[in-house]
Amino acid sequence: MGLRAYVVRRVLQLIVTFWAFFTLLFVLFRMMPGDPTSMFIMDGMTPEQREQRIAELGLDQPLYVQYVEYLQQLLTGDFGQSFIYNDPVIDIITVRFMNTIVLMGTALVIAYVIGIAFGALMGWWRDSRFERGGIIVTLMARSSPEFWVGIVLLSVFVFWLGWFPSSGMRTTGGELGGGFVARYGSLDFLHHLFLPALTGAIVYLATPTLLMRSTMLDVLNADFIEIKKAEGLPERTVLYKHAARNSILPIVTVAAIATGAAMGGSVVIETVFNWPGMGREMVSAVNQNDYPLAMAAFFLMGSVVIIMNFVADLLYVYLDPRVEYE
Amino acid sequence: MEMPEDSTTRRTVLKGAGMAGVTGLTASLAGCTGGENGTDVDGADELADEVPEIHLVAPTAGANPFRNELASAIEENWEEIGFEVNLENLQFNAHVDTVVVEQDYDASLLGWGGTPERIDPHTFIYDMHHSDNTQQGGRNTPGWEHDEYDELAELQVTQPDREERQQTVYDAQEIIAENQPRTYIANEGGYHPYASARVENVDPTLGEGLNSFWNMISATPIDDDDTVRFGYPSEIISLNPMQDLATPDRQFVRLIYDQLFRIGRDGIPEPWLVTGEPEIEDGGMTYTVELRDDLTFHDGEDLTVDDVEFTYELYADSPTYGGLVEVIDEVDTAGNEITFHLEEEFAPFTANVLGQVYIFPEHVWGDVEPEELTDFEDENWTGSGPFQFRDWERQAELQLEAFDDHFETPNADQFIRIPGEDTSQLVNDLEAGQIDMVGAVPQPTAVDRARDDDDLDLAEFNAVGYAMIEYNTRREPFDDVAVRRALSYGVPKEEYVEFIRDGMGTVTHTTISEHNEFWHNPDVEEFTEDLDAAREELADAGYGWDDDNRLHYGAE
Amino acid sequence: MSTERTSPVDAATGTIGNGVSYLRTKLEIFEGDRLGQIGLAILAVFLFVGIFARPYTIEFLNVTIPGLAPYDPTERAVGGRLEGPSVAHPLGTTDMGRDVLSQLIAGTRVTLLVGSLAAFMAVFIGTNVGLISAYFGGWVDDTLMRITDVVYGVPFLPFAIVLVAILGSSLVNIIIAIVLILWRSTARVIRSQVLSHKQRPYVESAQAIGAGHVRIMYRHILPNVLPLTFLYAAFAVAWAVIAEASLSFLGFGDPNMLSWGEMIYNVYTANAIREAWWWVFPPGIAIMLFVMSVFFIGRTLEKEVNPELKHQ
Repeated sequence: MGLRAYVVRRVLQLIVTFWAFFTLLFVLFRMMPGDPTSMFIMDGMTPEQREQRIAELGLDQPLYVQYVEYLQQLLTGDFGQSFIYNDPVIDIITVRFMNTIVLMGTALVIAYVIGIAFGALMGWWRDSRFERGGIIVTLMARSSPEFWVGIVLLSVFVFWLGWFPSSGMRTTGGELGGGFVARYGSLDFLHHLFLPALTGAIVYLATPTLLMRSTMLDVLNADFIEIKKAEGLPERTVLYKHAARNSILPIVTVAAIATGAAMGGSVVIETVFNWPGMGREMVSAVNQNDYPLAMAAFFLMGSVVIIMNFVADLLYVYLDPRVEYE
Repeated sequence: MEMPEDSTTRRTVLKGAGMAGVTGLTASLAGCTGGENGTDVDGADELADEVPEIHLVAPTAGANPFRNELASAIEENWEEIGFEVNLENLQFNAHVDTVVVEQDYDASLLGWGGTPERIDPHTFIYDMHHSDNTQQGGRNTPGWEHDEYDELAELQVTQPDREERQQTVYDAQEIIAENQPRTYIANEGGYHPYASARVENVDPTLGEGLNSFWNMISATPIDDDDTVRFGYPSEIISLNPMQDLATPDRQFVRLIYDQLFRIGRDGIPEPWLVTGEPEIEDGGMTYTVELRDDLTFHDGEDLTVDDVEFTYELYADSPTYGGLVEVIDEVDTAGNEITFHLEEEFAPFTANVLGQVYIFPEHVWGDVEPEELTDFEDENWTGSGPFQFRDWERQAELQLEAFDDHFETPNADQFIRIPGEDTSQLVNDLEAGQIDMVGAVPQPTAVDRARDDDDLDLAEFNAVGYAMIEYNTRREPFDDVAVRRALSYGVPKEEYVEFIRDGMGTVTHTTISEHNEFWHNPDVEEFTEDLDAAREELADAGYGWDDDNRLHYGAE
Repeated sequence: MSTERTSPVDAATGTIGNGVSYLRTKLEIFEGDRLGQIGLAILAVFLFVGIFARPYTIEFLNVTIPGLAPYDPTERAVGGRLEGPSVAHPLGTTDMGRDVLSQLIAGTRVTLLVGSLAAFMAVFIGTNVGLISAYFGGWVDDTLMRITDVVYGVPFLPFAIVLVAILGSSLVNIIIAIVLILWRSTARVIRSQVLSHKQRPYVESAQAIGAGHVRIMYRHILPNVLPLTFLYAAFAVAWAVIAEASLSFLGFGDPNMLSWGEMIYNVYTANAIREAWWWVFPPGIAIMLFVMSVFFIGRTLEKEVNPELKHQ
């Protein structure tokens, strides 16, 4: 099978995966107890108002009708109206999605830059005290749940030292809205971003570090190093070139998958630091039975994961010609 | 209201007492398990079936940590009495759905909020206990039906004379106490923390604390940025007064929109957009008020009687709020006077209708179809209230600014509302200087910290609403008043207030809070924790216990 | 039907037997591996604490083995409110006067339970899916791998939150949520391993003498991929424990089974992180140590299993 046929097949599979994923979501959310009127009932909504609201939302329709309608909507790129906010879901979620991407993207970039350097050094100085210490530190970071890292950082840098703000994404009272640069370019934003991004970076640091270390070890063990050295190239150059070449493939694949996984994990960091991101929005939407909003958030997070896995597969094939298309 | 210093000493004393009480309780429990039945109370000799297991629905620790803790204390006590208890912790929405909508529960621990409109006893007496309201989603969740009571609940609506109505409300409370369709546990007042170094003139009021309208227009920033930053543990859903509004939404809608009357600090409706008390004629069938002549909307247009008339028509057409004004037959205007003709007598008319209908600008809402009302987006949310809308980013901040042309200009130029993940987070932000006030009761640990912090202070307030256990009287054995009374004896109200809430709030035995002084009946039958009394109640009603201390029906 | 064909029960027994003997011989691999030994030691301590956390009563002997926890971890007011460490309460008390040390000890059992059960079930499902998928190929492989793809698309925490909202917060439901997600990585890795084993001569010769599918899969191929299964089981334990802790921290844990994650959630909701270091640090460090010990052991296994294999 050629590359093109392989890609076509993978794209078809991707579509099937998306459909199955969507259906799973729909079923899951409709099984949830409660409905979007529950939260108003204790605040004075009468039974008549409630019935009218349920009908307005279309929740009195048979399930399959709701399913087909929602699927049609989604195919036209419409996520529907939020039950609770009464606004288009897309308006609510775009900003949240960007906030999450900026946070987790920063965390991952830091993790991969530091991790690659750190791992390479660990391999370079193998069997040294540095390597042994490095492995322990790395595994320690990997063994810590995100919320735990967040709480430790919060205790030290906010409660104790008072260096950073305790929550949020910017100082309140300023001009709202504005473009991408206005939102994410200010010093104030970076000040707020630091701790949550660091939390993510620590948690995601282990994978690239360990991967880079073992790649480095492989390269160091390989016979061709000796040959190249015999050809008169300096050891450092040889190592650098080959380590880089050999590590690109696994690092890129793992990074793609980690990006996906980070989306799901963002909810914890967002909770600890009150970051206005999508994970938090999803949890509150679940708690309020706002299906369109919760499903859209879930769907977007899942899509990132699915697409990243897909990209990882393609990259793998593209970067490593030895892989059979099967 | 007590001075903060006084409340500190009072609290310390009570805290000691609470701890002693708890230790005593533990000891008595230990004593109980040693004996055969634990007490001298003997039930029926011939036993029939076991009394079925009680499905007790309670909030998760995340939904309400205090009540979550109380639920496990209640579970222990009820099992001690001889019941089998299946405690289920649910998130708020699922809880309300299971209990209030589906009514699929035996007993449920929930709270009923005390907003200012509920200082008038109508909601607590009629909506919550009259047998007309037992349907799914209705207020009478227990499904309790009592003919004599129903008559009183109907009578009080038609009594414009406050003293007469008071007597009726008193009698009604006695019947409720005797029958215990619910266990009325505690009015959950407490403290709202604020930064006394940054804000002054806070004005916590009955039932609402710092969430009150009066506090928000009174709070004055001390530093020069003239901004008050207010934190609340959930986001506002909408500022559209025509949508179904949750309590936090109303707290801000009413800053932007005015009503003819506002519920005052003491719970009595005060003239707001009108010049004085309503003139009530025809035996309570017509109400006449005169509109002030210095009113404008935020966009500069005058607010006139036409806008008022338009508003009441708009409400009548609204699918969501039609019910609120259905008691009005007709609205007349003459000059600056507005007359409301009622279909029937409705004693709480001023508080519950004139005090709740927000006045809309006809020039903005005039063309909106009734079915579009809830979805209508007025970008500027033009009202006439003391604050006007500036900007809003969900989950981040809502910005309001003072409306200088209002007859009650607020003390802060800017008022910012910040939604937090939860109360703990907001207290952290308060301590870090990121916000100035929190409209939620923190955990006792945070209360202690705020007390010790020079920059922070606590605003104390009392509650009108209460935490309660509702019994599903549609089911056995809760249709038996003796069982409900016995279960009420098993609820550790004192421990809840003094230990679990660390002295915040007050124990209650009736549906009207003691802080709602005029309507509260202080002489109703009281149910304080007393497991022996619970067993006696059951023994007298013919129940009995087996050797494992399990409660059975009697054989007769 | 061939008489050679082994019943699945026999196959399973054989598998377990193989596993045990494998473990016995492979315990030697910890020799000279300091980190692996430390991991084993830490794990052994946690096992001991977890097993003896609460009192046991052996009815017919009428004896009670006392538990390690000095107090009932759920009992209110065994000490004062939010007291620092003391002789009576070595790790202090909670806001409701509960004993933190007792909670920590009781939480060990929950962690062990979640870690072992979830990992066992996830690896069991994952190994079978991978084995069947790779062995049969064709539409079986296609279907199973598409399902795996979908599961890969499901972000764990959001999924678990929704599932717990539907089924209720109980430890069993949390384990179900973890297993439903966790099997996917084992399935993929085992599948690719089996794919390469399928081509090997020993499988062909087994087929030649007429061995049935089940026999070939479970008798011939499985033992060869079993080491990898063990490795993934170790990772699965670590992952499951962190997953349960995160879920509990977000407030979706089982209220009746106090876990370490839930302890931290309680400090958080009690708003006591600032002052009660004795309450927040022990469970956090316990989670870290436990997961670390599993990773240390995993590293040793990994070296033995497949020197080329990278960390997941």
